[in-house]
Amino acid sequence: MKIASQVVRMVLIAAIAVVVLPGLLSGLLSGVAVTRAAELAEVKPETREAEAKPDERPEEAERRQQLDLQIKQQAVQWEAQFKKLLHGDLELVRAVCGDLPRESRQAIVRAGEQAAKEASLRLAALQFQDQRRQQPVGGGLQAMIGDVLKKIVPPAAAPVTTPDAGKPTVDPLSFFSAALAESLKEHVGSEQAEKFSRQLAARSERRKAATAHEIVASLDAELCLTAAQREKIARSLLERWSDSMVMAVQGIYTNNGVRIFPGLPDECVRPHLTRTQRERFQRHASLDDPSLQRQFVMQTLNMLNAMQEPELDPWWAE
Amino acid sequence: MMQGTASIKPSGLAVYWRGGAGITRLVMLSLFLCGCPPLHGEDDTVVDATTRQKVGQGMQPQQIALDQQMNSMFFQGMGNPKLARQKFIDRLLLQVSAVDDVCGLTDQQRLKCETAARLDVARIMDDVDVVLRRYAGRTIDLNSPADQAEWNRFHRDATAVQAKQNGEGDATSLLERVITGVLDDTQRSVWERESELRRQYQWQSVVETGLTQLDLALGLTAEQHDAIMGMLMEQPLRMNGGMVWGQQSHIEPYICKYALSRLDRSRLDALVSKRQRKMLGDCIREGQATADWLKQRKLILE
Repeated sequence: MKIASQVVRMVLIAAIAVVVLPGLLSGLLSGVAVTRAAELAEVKPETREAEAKPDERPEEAERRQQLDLQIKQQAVQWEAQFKKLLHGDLELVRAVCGDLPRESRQAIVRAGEQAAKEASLRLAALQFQDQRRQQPVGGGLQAMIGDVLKKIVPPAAAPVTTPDAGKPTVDPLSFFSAALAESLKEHVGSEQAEKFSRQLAARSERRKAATAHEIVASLDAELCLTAAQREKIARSLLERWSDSMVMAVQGIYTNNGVRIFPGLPDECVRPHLTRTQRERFQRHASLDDPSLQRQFVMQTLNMLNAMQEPELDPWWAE
Repeated sequence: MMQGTASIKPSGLAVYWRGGAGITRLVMLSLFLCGCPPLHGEDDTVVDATTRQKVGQGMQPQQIALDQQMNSMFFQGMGNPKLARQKFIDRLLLQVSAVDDVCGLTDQQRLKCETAARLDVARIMDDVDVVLRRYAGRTIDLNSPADQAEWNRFHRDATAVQAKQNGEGDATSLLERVITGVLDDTQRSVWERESELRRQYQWQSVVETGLTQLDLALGLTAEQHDAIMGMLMEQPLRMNGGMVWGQQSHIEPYICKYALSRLDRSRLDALVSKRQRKMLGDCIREGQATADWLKQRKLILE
C-alpha cells in the first residue's frame, strides 16, 4: 500500500511537471507567449465584460474573468504548436488531394487556423480543469471552468469522433483533425476528405506503435527481455492501448532504486516475464485519469517544440 | 559567447542554435540529460564576492553542484551507493538469466557468467568512486570560463563511467567476454542472433520515435514515412541502449536526426516535396550539429 501510494504521488507530481514544464520552458525560451498574453489581457476588456453574467456577484465575475484570461494565456502557447501541426497537415492535404481549386485553398487554410485556435483553447481549458481537479477547490470552480469553456469555444457542429472506432472524444488533436477533414469535405468533396482522414488515422497508428516500442525498449533496458518477450509485450500494449501509457516514458521514476513504469498496466507486462524479471517489475494498475490520458496529446504537440514554424507556401494564398 | 556548456563545439552551435536562446537550450538539454540540478535555496550556496558582482551586473549565476549531478548520474538520485551497487548486480544477473533462457546454460557456465558479472560491478564501482572523490564538494558556475572547462572535464569523466554502468558497448566488460567464451558454438550462434535482434529492435524504436516528429511537422504520407524509415533501417547506428533509455529526456529524435544526416541526401530529397525538403534540411543540420555531443555522451558508439 505504501509503495502504491508513493507511486500514485509520483505519478501526480510527474503529471503536474509535465503539464507545467513544457509551457514554462517554451515561454522561457521564446518569450513570445508572455508578450502575447499581455496583449490579450490589454486589448479585449469589452469581451471580458460581455462574458460576465448580469446576476453574478462582483467577486465571482472577477474570478470568471481571471479564469478566462488564464485559459487564453495558456492557449497562446498551444496555438503555436497547433499551427506547426497545421503546416504539416496542409502539406499532407496537397499530397493527398493534388491541385486544389484556387477558391478552396484560402478557405481550407482559414478553417485550419480556426481549428488550431479552438483546439488550443480546448486543450488549455482541459489542462486547467485537470490541474484544478488535483486540488481540493470549492466554490463551483469546476462548473465555472465548464462555463468559461463553453463561452470561449463554440461547440462543434457535430460531436467529434475518433477516426478508428467512431467514439465521441474530447481530445483536442482529434478535434483539430476532424475540423480540417470537415473543411476538405466541404471544399473538395468527401472522397478526398476520406483519403486525408485515412492518412491521419495511419499516422496516429504509427505514433501509438512508436510509443509502444519505446516503452518496450525502456523495459528491455531494465529487464533484459528476450526477442519473444518484447514482441508479446508490444502486442499486448497495442491491443489494450490507453493514452495514459505514455506516462511510462514521460520521465524516469524510481522506487528504492528500481525504475517503475507508471501508466503501464500490469497485465500487459507481467504475464510475459520470467520469475526473476517479475521480481524487478513492480505492480501497476492502468491509469484512467483523464488528465493522464491528456499527456499523450501534449507530448505529441511538444514534439514540435524544436521545430520552427515555416511560412505558409504562397500557393495557398493564390 | 559562452562556450562548451554541453561539450558541444561552438562551431556546431553556430550552425543551428543561434544566439543566447540557443545556448540556454543546450544548457537545459544538457542538464535534463544528466539530471537537472535541483534549485538552490538561499542557504544552500555561499555567495562569494564575484557572484555578487555578477548579479549586480545583471548576470545570473548558473551554479551546478557536482555532488548532486553525480548522485543523479550514478545513484539514480538516491545518494545510496549500496543500493546502486545492488541494482547494478541485479541488472547484470538478469542479463545472465536472459542468456540462460535463450541458450540453456549448464550450472558451470552460469556460475562463470555470474562471477564475471560480480567482478564487473566491483571494477566499475571502483571507477565511480574515483570520480566521486575527484569532484566531491565542487560547485560549477557556468558563467566562468574556467568552470566551463571543469564542467566539460567532469562530464567526460562521469559519462565514461556512467556508460560502463549502463553496460552495452563496454569494450572492457568481463561479462561480455565470458559469455562469448563459455558458450559452445550452437549456444553462441543463438546468443548472437538474440543480441542482433535486440540491436534491431532498439534501432527501430529510435527511428520510429524520431520519425514521429517529422511525420507531424512535414506532413509525411504513409508511403513517404515508410520509404524514409526503410532508408534509416538500412544504416543502423551502434548505441548504448542503457544510456539512451536511461535518460530523463527523449533523446531518440536527436539520434534519428543524426542518422538522417548520414543518409544519401539525393535519395532522401527525391522522396519529399520541395517544401518538405527545406524542413528536412533543417532537421539534418540539427543532426549534424549534435553529432559530437551524442558521441561524447556515449549515446552512440562510433
